[in-house]
Amino acid sequence: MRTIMHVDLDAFFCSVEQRRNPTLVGKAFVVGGSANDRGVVATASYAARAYGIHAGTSTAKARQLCPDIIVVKPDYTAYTEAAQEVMEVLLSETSLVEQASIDEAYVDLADIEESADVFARRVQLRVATELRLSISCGIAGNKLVAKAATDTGKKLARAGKMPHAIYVVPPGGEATFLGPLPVDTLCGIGPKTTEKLHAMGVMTLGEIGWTRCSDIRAAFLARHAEELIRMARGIDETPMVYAYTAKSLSHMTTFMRNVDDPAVIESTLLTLSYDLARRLQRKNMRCKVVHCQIRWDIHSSIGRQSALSRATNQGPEIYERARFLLRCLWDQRREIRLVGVGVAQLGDYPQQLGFWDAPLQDIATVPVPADPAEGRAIKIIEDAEQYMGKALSTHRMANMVAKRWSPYQ
Amino acid sequence: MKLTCLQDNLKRGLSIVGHAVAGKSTLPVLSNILLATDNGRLKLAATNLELGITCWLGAKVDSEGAVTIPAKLLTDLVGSLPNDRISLELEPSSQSIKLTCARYENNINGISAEEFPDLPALNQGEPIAVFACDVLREAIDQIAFAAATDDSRPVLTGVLLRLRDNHATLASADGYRLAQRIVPLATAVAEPLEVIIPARALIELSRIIAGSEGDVAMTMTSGGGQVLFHTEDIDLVTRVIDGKYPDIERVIPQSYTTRTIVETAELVKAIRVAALFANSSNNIVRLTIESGSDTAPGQIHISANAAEVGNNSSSVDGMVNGEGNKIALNVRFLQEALNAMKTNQIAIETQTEQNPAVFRPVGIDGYVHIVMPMMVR
Repeated sequence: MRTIMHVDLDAFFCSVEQRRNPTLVGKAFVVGGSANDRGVVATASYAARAYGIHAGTSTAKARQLCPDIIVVKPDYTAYTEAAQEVMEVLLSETSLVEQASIDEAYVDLADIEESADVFARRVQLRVATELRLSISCGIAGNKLVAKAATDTGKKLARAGKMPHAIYVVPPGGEATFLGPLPVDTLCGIGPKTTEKLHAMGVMTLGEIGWTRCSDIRAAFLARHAEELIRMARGIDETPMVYAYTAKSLSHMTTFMRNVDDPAVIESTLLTLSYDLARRLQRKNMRCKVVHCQIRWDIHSSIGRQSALSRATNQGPEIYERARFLLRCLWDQRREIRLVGVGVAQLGDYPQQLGFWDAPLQDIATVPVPADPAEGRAIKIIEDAEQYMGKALSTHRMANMVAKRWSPYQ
Repeated sequence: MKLTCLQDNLKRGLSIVGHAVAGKSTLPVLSNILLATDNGRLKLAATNLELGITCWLGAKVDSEGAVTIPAKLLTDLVGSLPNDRISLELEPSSQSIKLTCARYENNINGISAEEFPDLPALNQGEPIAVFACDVLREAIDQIAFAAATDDSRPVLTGVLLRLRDNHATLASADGYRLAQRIVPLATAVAEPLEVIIPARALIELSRIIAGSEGDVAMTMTSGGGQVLFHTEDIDLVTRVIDGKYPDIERVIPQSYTTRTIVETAELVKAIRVAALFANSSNNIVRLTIESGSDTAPGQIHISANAAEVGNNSSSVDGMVNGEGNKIALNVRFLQEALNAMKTNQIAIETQTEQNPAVFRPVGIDGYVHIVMPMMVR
């Protein structure tokens, strides 16, 4: 039987901000976009959460809930570096570490000789003293239950404080642990399924897994039903993924209002392409395929991809191909809700030089907006995209980018 | 329409025009081949609206007429018939033809010839330029493969044809390599002209004039939107690509630090072996050029290293003029460049590992092939 520890950084962005600005400690503050810019909260400090402010709350709403709230602009580089520091601590203990997201990791404790709770306590202490960051840990026989254990531990912590929790599910105790928990505890039971379960009067995982199996089998498709039952019983065989390498990257922007102005859409595409180029350069990778996606409304979207004649990590080349694909996909008649760019077939390819290459750009020389206000705006879009899975952009921002740099005019 | 012709001739004619048939089209007539009588000959024509090919063949015409017939069925049918006399007869009311050959009798439904697009024909006036068939073919074969195959920069999918005085320059580039050939013209052109012709069309032209002797006359439609190549029994018309071709003069290096002359066949063989390994490692082949001494000749060391497969190295003697240096190239580009050389010896001009390598046949002026290097860590 495996023992898996799930590690979650507590209020990660806020903790990093507190670390470099100790005056924030204990105060209600959020990391996110500013209120007058239609920004949203990326992370709220635990003091702010006591006011009902959470990730995804608009900054304006947060200010209503707590007029004294402090809004800190996100600093992506600092968070990536801090996350890396935490991963290094974990990796110094064992190589069996899977980074699941910027602020989460799974550790397989197969190589650890201490008991799981002693190990967790020691790692928590190391991260707190060496990095001045707080982590919560959940320990169980598999990834699914370990994550649920972390979340449960955090919920048991006192409101308004860093949870700094450790929750251990004893071996074989997964089903007993999950039984009384609400159905949406598990990662994998989303809002739609939850709604359906609640409508059936099914509130706890124990009901799904044991007492009302037949109702579940009647209400859901066979495969889905069996999956739900297995999950609710705490059975999960998802393997650990080590040294995860991205197979593709993508960035997208949802417009506040649907857009039909090609200049706005193409300049958004430019920003997205440059973001991707920068990410590729940071990873020291190149891509061979570019993908462009547009969405008309929430239900209908189309995309198209195309292979490049050489591997690249240069903004102009990704943008040129993305724009070519956009022009294939879009007749400029219908309004667009979302536009996205993706790159695939990533690898450490050598660079084929070309006759008409634009001067090479690396991270240091990618154009940085001269006006700091613009820089902040673009940064917020990037960060929101990276951490919240959806981005907010405005025409104004897109236009600013277009004015700033336009390679093909 | 009623006529007879030889199966062999008809088969050849269909294979010439067949490449211009539209593969998939919303216009059904574009999947057909036009058959028409024309001044005592049988005219075959096909077009996909980008490219059109017309071909005339000898026939005994009993009565005039025209019809279009599905290309695939007709080509497959004629290819399967014995080498004998074929007689074609149009049934005007149903637009079907009766095709008989030896003891085979076939009826094929067609579409009226009136629906077939008009293809421009050679103007009565003088052609813009006249090429010798074999010279034009060789030039196309030496350069057209270097054109880009993806459509994101349309001009690069074309071949730049520049006519000036009594010579023509053909050049193509995909951004990473460039091939240029200058050929003489039999007569000087009246005024200079630059036009970008789809490389695919020129590759077709080279294919269909393979057996021809004599000259190829080139002319343009009055609007300048299409260019027409004409031989005695074949016409090829293609659209031209709009846009401005990048400045190729700027790309061709004006100097070099090292010039190496090697036997073409030896280098080709060494590169073929290196390719077996390079294919598994991003196509990289490294050339290291060493100058010779009083007692030893210069050399090119060729190596390819594929971490997962293994590695290879070989060397070829050469006459090295200048200091030694090295360069990494895409093996496919290198192979295609070498295949385009028609001489026993070639010259390779290099500078640094970030400058392009220039390949020239030794003893013949007029051809140059330039390949940009790859940067390897």
